[in-house]
Amino acid sequence: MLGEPGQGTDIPSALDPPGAPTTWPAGKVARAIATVALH
Amino acid sequence: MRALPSLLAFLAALALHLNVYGAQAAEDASRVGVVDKVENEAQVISASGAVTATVGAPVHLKDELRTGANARLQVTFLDETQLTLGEHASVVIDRYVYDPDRGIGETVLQATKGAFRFATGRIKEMKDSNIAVSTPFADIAVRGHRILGWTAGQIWGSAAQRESHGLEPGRERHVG
Repeated sequence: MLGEPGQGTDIPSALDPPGAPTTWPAGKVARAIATVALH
Repeated sequence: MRALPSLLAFLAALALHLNVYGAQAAEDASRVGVVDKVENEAQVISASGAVTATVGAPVHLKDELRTGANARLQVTFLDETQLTLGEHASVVIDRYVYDPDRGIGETVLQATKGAFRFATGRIKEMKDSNIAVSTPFADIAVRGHRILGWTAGQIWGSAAQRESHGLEPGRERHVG
């Protein structure tokens, strides 16, 4: 469960369960948002 | 008797009008949203074929949204939910119900590739709501007022506001 802003979780593969939610560094969040950001 | 041809012509015109109106009404009934923004090449694919996504184009149940290189596509649903696809993405609108009079709302999407951002709209306010997005790696259950994103095996929450979203225990679907 992601309960806080800026948290994320990695799922290594379809066979693996999601990892524990962690607070991502701002740069990682920014890179994730950039993948869907409208210009 | 001279009035008969005119009457027949009138009835034919009326039938044609009703047929066209009926088709439009049916088309509107299946519409679940509209293309809001498009950058570069994106398509809306339905059973009748693929069309280039343009701002204002309707989106219907079971449509597939697909983007190309360096593309973005944003769709706003009837309840103001916003779905944004990144490049090389594909999302199928599997189920969508928004009935505020009955307090029912449901959004089920299948994201098969690429990145997406999902910001829930009014469906979250329904007393009976279900929002779920399946990805190749897991099913994501969305609760409450949330924004989430999916990028290459990673689920992230927006830093813009406090949110609570993620994977619902026991609902993870592992695809081999």
